[in-house]
Amino acid sequence: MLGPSTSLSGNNNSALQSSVLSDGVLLSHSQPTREELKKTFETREGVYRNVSLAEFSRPRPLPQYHMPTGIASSAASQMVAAGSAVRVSFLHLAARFPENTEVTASTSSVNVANRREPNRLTNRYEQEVDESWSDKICFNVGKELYVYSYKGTNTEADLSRPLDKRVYKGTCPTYHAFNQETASDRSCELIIGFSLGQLQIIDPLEKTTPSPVSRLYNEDRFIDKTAVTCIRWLPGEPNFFLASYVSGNIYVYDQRIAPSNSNSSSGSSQGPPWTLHKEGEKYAIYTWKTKHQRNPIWRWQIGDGSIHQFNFSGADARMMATVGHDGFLRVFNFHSQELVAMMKSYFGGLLTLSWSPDAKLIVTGGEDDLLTVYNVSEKRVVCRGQGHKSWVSQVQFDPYLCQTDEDLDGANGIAATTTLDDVNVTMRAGPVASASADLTTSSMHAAPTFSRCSLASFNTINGGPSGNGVCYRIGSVGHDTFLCLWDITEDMLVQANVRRHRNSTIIAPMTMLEIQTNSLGGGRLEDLQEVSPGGAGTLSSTDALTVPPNNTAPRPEKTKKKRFAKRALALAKFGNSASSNSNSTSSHKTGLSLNGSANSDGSKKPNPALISQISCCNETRMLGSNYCPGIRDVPIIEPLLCKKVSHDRLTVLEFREDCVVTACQEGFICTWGRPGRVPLKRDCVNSPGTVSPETVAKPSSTGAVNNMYGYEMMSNGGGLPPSRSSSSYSNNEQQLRSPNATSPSYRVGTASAFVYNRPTYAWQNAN
Amino acid sequence: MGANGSSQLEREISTSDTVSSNNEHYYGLVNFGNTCYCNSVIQALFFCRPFREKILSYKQSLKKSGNSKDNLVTCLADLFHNIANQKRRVGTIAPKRFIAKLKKENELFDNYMQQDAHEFLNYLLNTISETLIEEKNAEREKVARNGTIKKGGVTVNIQPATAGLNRPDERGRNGTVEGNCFRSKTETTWIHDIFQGILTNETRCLSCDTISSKDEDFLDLSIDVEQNTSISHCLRVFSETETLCGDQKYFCETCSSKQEAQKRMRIKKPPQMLALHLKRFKYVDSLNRHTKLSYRVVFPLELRLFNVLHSL
Amino acid sequence: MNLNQSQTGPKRKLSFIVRDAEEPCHRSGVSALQFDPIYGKLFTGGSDTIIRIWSVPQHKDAFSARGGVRSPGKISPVQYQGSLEEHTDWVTDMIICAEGRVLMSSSNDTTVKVWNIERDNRHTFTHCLKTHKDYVSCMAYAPLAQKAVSASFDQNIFVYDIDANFKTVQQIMGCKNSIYSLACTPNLNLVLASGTEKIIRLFDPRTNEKHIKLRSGHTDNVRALLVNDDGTLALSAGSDATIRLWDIGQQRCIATCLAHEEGVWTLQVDSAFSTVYSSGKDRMVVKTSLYDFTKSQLLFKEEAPVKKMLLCEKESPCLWVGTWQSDIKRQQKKRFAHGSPPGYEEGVSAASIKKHLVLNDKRHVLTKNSAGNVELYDVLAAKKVKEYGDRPLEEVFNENFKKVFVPSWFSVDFKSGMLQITLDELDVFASWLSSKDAGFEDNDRETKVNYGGMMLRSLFEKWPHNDMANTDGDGGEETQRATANFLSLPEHTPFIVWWVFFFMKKKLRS
Repeated sequence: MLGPSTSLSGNNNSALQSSVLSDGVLLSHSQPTREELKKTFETREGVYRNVSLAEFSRPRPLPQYHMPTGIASSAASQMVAAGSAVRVSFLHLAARFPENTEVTASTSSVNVANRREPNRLTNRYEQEVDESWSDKICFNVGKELYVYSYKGTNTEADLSRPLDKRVYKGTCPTYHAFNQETASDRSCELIIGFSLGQLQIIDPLEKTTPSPVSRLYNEDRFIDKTAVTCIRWLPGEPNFFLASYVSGNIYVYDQRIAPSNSNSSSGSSQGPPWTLHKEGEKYAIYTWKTKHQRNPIWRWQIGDGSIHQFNFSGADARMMATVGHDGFLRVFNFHSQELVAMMKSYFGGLLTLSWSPDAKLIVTGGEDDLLTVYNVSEKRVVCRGQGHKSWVSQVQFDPYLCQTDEDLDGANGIAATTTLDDVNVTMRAGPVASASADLTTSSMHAAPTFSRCSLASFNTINGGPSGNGVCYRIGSVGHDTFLCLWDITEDMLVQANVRRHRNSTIIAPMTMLEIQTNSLGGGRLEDLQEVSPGGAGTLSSTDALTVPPNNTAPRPEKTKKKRFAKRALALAKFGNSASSNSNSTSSHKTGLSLNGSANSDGSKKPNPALISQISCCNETRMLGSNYCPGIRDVPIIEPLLCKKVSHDRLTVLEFREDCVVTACQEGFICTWGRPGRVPLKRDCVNSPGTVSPETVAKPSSTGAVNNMYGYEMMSNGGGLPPSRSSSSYSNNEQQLRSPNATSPSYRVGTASAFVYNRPTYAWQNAN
Repeated sequence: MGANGSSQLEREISTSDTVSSNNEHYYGLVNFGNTCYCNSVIQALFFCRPFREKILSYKQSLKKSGNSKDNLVTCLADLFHNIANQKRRVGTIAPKRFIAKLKKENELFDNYMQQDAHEFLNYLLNTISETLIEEKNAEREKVARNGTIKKGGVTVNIQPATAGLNRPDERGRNGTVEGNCFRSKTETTWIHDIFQGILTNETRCLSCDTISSKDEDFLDLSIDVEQNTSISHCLRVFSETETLCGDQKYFCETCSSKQEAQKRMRIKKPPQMLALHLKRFKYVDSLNRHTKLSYRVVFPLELRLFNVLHSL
Repeated sequence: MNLNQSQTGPKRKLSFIVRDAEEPCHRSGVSALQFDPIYGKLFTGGSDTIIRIWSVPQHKDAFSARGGVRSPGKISPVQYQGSLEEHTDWVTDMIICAEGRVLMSSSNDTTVKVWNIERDNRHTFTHCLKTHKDYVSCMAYAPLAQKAVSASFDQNIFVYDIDANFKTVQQIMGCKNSIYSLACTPNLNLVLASGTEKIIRLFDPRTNEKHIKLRSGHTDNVRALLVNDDGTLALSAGSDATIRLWDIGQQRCIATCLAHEEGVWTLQVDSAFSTVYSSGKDRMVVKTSLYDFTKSQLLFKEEAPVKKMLLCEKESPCLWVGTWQSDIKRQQKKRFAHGSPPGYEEGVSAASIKKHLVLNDKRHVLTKNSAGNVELYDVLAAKKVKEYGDRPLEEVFNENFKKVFVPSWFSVDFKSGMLQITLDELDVFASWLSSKDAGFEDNDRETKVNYGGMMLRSLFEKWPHNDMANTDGDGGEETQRATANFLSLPEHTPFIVWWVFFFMKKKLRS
């Protein structure tokens, strides 16, 4: 592969037949193509606005850091060569203060009722607390790494006063993560992964010398020579962290165990002596058999080629999902180390994944320019999203705009009370009861503005068609510089929709009563089957695909239909009265949990069906199977918003309570303030038509808004710089070599995609 | 990447495990002054395995028959043979004979100007296929002549003679010599087997939703590129629907009247090897000429076409 | 008809339609249906440009027109009452407003026409609204506001005040593509429009504020839209074969129905907004409950793609179905609910022309209609002269082949299902030929005749100033002679002038 591609790229300046191109023309065109970027984008919940004060980038100009002229301008292209994407990680301190109620704010789902209280507390204290309690943001640009204070939409980025700033030589940071468990206002642990495979733990807050925490792992690159692709702290555990590599390995480290130094190990030039612990299809888990526990304690080797990203489901870290170069999403039970589910991209590698707040869905994005939503418990692809014009570099569920089953159960009461305010709504009957007589003037008053009361009415009716159901909000950014927002509604999650998509239309036979009363019942049914030629056949065939033979008892078609009918009954109830609503939803839930238990049962023993299926289908035969359904087998959804928000490839998307954060390869981190900063229930009501620009710009104008959200929007006046920041900055001038840093000669491994120029490197450290 | 870079690359290639497992040769081609258009196409074709195998087997058959022809195809075959039989696995080679032949055969290339690689590819493929057809026809005539002499016009014996060529589409019409001139028009060679696909031009009337379509063959697809996009997106843009509306309404046979319609190109039969031509140029009005677009267009190592008619 | 042809400058054209004096049956697809329950009148319009009015016998006087005997369970067929003939292209949609006294119809001829509907069947054409610049595709009516809305391929929506003499009170802009579907609430708080853009746009006509878009739903042209009375729920259907239910407050699709196999073209919903009836290209008429979109019930299957349905809930509930073919069917709700083979053919359909060949003499046109019959028309006489029955068109053509060369001077069009001859300014006088060749024996050999001139003279024969022969110029005599053999046309022949018509004199002299 390398041969032809390099020689081609060297000679690729294909000229046009008649016009010889001058060099000037070749270079000039790239500049004027820059169009103006919009500073706002609008969704149904309102207008997101770019908070220009909260934009981070590498400090411009660089007062302390002397770069040769010319390099600064081509910094972006250098970074491309270095291959390290700009990443952003946050330390959530504000959420923890004053008590450690919610540790991982980003992973837990939003429950309006629960959230309100601690936030109000936070709100009260916020003004008195010194800045050290604010959240911290860390990002890498090229060979540099910066840590700043971050206060969401209140942030005033003073780029000249970073909490920490590091410049690395010969290697560049690729990924970093704060340890949320051990962080306090005075110390925290930030782990950084590098393009040459090293891992470093630093404390950007601790400024005493020498720093108690600054450790290096894989310093001599004996464990892995390839680049770090992703790092996570094991949720709920203060001491374990994991790092994935281009080589296709994930290493589990325990930071209590001292980093193994090459000096101490006997065969210093060799990699650690791994022994196989567990093996499955296309994955293997190794451990390091020694008397003393050594780091890394586990090695997971997964799939072919690089692991691009991995993440854990929720706070319990029960499941770990990985995506990689081979295009597979793999979901493991992390503790039992079993492969639970897998899915293949439509084509190409998968680059990113995100778990839904309720850990039921995973969304992936990859080189097929598609989003793929995967239902973990049902082990099927729910839908694909088409909207990006290039690879999808980061996907995220927006936990603050997801409405999961649990939310619905908890929120039903709330919804009812809020809608009681609306007189119009309570007067109005649901569509079932509203007879044709409604065509009178009363309906004229019922909808003063069509956007305002309609949702509320839905909550009260509850029996309305489909009602106010589960909804997941997904955001995605890609190499195309676009930010897309997607909604996964209950409608899309219904499995029947997938099965009956397009060619396999099945019209269910008339239900129950109608058939019985019908004298010509037989003929009627035949008629109906005629409508769906081969309908029954498709049903059974898809059944066979969806239900792995050993998972539960194979479900024959008849029972399937029965279940269908049952569900129909439940739904009918659902339609009739609001009281039965809770019943039906709970039954729905039991169905799901049953499914889940079946899965975990299956995962205890090795799943022969799964394995055999994997082994029998190679990449091409996989298409059309349940792992990789054909393009027509699952619905394709379009984004509800698709906006160009950057000039360069986007690499980061983070949803925070009050804002959305994006970052691009040029190193600009943008903060987009959420509209009105109110949770979903209100958001729906606040249609763009009704939300005036004032309320969006100043969310503090309404009392209700303040209650819902964390902090009062108080401007910080001059913006108090952290007391230590100036000193820390000057500290960085010294370029200290780590005492035990050696300069071994090494070369890039075969799998490495990165080219570096300098064979030596040095740790440049503040301490 | 200068000389230093390439030498490092050489080192990497020669030492890496994955590469050494197969018996692949990675050779650079010497540039004889703006012959990069040619070198890049040859490199691409060399690493297109079915094409290389066919060319090498052509060389073999030439050897066997003892024919000493000298045309562009034999030059290419010699070049490929040369590369494939080098002792070292990495190096450079000078495609001198091929370039000389090319310049002799076509005056368009007989200069030191830059040329369009896509145009050259088209020329090369067409030349190869024409040469093959000529040879085949000559062969067939010879056989036919023999057949008529021996059997008095009964031409049943043609089948074994053409069996060496083994063309599946010929099986249906064995023995019809008079179809020759007709056949030479629609004649296909292994070039077509490898590179030819079928595009279909679909027009759907928006009033009655009736689709009418027209097929056409293609050897490569020329697609427009945009900044920060992927190859799959560019391919999708290629078959984006165009709405015929306003004054451009479409006369629908079913509706017997002019109606709005949507048109799009889709791939009916994907070729064995899809050749993509990225149109890395754009006409700029202000400059009054084409400029090159050095856009970043990413491509995955695996590609699936969205715009195939009966895709999964 | 779109006048803005790609040619430069205005073209003047004249068309006439060869047809029967009375056209009691639809010739082609029925795309507009309206029922006036007060007077029991059914209005149908479609591709043959004619709006027909049918009386629908109420149940109490349901005596069969033929036998006079009441047959239990059977309803008597509708009876043709009259036609409204002003449109020159397909009638696309209709609304009944002002308690059944006014009918508004939209057409591909880019106009909206207004008719007064009288009890005594003396309907009058009152207004022609020329607001649009392209095919007018759909209409909607807001009874509480007494306003009518029309939408067109030109991306515009216009609102007309019915009480104020159909004045255009508002133009709603914002759609970025051709509009194929339109809906509004009874009080006109909300107007929904969609089409090839695929997204549904929601306008509030009272304010000119930014409108709402319902996105990420349909993947193809949206052909039908419905909204409930209070503007909280919307239904849409389109060529992507799906029906979607939208929550307007949440601005999202809350349910998708995939019952159809091909494009859904028409939707009807009951007044309670609980059951939707849908049909389209796949000919299936499907009933779906809005409370459970996962299950649909096939009511019946039509013989041709269904262009329009109309649900009548008063008295004896029924579903009127207009199809691609020219028949109208009444499907009684009672009956299809019980699964008995439904279908009650109402308007007997007439065949529409599907193919044509102009004979070599450039005077006769052979046609083949949807029933398969081949017919011969004389263009000069504007009437059908011969029927050949069900035979291949080419065979008949070869039989009638004459070895003569006449330049073509007219073009043939049959979008209405009837033969429409169009004379174009550019070539209408191209057909000079000797009168012998033309078959007029009584003239001497030297006389040349001009078919186009004869045709024009025939067309304007009954007009007060048809004195083209009396022109005092030097060419007058020749003109007179060349067109002397004109034939009188059937009096009912309608003709359409596409542009100002004053070029005759000049051209004929050439």
